[in-house]
Amino acid sequence: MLRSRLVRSLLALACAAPVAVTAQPVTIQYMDWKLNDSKKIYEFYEQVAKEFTAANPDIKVELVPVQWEQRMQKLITESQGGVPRDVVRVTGTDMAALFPLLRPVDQLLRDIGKYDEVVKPIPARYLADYDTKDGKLYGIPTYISADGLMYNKKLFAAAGLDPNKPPKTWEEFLDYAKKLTKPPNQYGYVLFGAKSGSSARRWMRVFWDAGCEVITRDFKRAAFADKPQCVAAFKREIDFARVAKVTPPGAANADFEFVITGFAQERIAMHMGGANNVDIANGKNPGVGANFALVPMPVTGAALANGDSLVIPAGSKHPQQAAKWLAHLASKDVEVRYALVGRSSPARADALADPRIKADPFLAFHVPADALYSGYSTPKWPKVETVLMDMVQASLLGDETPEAALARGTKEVNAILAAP
Amino acid sequence: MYRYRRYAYAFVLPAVLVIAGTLVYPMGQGVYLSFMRVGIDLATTFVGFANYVEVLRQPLFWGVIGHTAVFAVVSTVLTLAVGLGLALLLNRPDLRFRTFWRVLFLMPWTISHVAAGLGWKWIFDGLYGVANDLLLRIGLIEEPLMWLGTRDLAMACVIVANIWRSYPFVMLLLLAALQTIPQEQYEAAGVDGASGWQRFRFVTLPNIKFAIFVGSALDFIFNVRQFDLIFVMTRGGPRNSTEVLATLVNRQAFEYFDYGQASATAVLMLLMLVAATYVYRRLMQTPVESR
Repeated sequence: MLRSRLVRSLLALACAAPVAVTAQPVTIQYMDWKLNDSKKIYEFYEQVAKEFTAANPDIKVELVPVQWEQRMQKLITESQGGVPRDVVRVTGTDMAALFPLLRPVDQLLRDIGKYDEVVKPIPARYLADYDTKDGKLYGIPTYISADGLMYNKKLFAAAGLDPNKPPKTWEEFLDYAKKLTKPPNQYGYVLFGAKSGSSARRWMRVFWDAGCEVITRDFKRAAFADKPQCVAAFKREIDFARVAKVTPPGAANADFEFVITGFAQERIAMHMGGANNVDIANGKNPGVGANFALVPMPVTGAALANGDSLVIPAGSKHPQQAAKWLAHLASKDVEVRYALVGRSSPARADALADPRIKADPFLAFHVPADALYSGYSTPKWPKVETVLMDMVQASLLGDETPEAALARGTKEVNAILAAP
Repeated sequence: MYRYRRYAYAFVLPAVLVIAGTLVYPMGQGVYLSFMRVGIDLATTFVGFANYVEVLRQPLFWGVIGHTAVFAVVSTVLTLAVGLGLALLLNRPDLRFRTFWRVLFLMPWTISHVAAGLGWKWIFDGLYGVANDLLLRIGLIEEPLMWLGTRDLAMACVIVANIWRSYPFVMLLLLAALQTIPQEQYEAAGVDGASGWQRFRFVTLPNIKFAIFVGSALDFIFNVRQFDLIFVMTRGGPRNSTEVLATLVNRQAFEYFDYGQASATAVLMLLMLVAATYVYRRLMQTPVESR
């Protein structure tokens, strides 16, 4: 009896005592394929996450690497299953299909007092091209994909070419490519022929570089054969493989992995790519990057405006915390530091103007604003992309002439865009 | 009696629930979605047979049926040939280092399809692949071949990779069957003066017929469903020449986000597999009955 009373009294005391409630930190997840690009990039994000948690002790960040090819499948299936990550990197052209699964970020950023700081320095066009729907902002642009001509200085010197004088015209380019081609071990140039999103990006630039569009900006019809220079640009690339034979065999199956491995092994002397390829190539063959240089592409040097966007899935369980992490990633400081580590030109105008960016040899060239293009933000783009790469493969395999492939592709793309 | 029956149901229930949850429900959901237009947010609208009509209307679908048939039939036949050959070799009483050979031949079975696909992709790489290097060194070719970048070669390459990954299963099955053949039958055949071929034809083959049918039927089903190996090696290219039903379903679902059409294609694939399995079953009945 006495024991029972004692226990009850102790319990009552325990309940009455003031309890210091300690809030458990919330863990949010950040999914990004860049985390797979190199150890350096992963470590960079680890450091950024540590700094973020130090400033926000109630939020921890878990980094979730994903393969580039699986980024959409993961995001979509996880969202449909109700368990999406909290912040995710997607490409600008992914956005059109994703809107129903995303949470608008403008109000969230206002709620945490970061809207002006994050959104204002980003050129309005980047926000409009991919990330805005029905007046709401669903993503924050995070970098400009400015590709250039990446070439191997050592192979240039070995072929008797001046490593400090890369080609400036397509005629010069072909001449250099021929001199750099020594089959079966070395080739002057490489085309992206495999059917994939990253290959399609390169071919978009072939048309843009000639002042052409792949489809019209109202997404109503194909435009890649609208002008003679569009056809000529497509034919020129195909002829590198079929006529001049300055590309390695198997171009119709050449994907990013093929290109970057061949470049890292110094079997491919030139390719069109972004500065971020330097570290990927270095990861495959350490030290080889010292032989690379990146210069604007011959002719105009068209670039993809706003390569990627940071988004918050609608099903995120911690949207406020996710918004804080997104704002941190999109801050000027992190954008500049990431640009230097990941070698990607930042989307923020103030970050792009930073002296550290201008001093970097791989980020030193900047594309004029009139050469900036955007991808095509329509849910039908994946089907258009399939036709685009089929035209490339048909021409590379000799099934059709480049002109015939473009004519057939025009019909197929028009049918896709006209369908409900 | 009633009590015992209740127990029986209780014991079977967990297995039924697992099968219902992992097989019946997803299959039913797939059939349901095949009659719907499905948004990326899974909002659905009933469209009747429109997805089926759309799929069957596409020339690509019929091409894919052809590729799937070539891939599955050639892979199954050649896997059976390789598996049977190696099983006969491993069953030889005079084979030395038997355990070593068994482990060695079993190795491909332990490797995932994705890893195997990556390995073979590198082997057949046009620029730095071992296949070209080897053939150039021994002078069989004068310039590198575009293994995965040419239509016919690409299909041959994915079939070779698939056989390499699949033969251990058939080999094991046939080896187990070979080891059940009574030695007396061979001795009797020897007494009758049977040659090596006659012993194989009239003793070995009838004894392992059932295993051959089971092995090849299962292998055929695996081959029709093959996705990862082909996706990793060619992504269905070049020009859809290695696109099979499984990669097409993946493309429709995860590149075009057209879950309705993907489900319709998957249902058609299921129906074809059921039909093929039925034919196999009919073929199997003869050897089963004659055993």
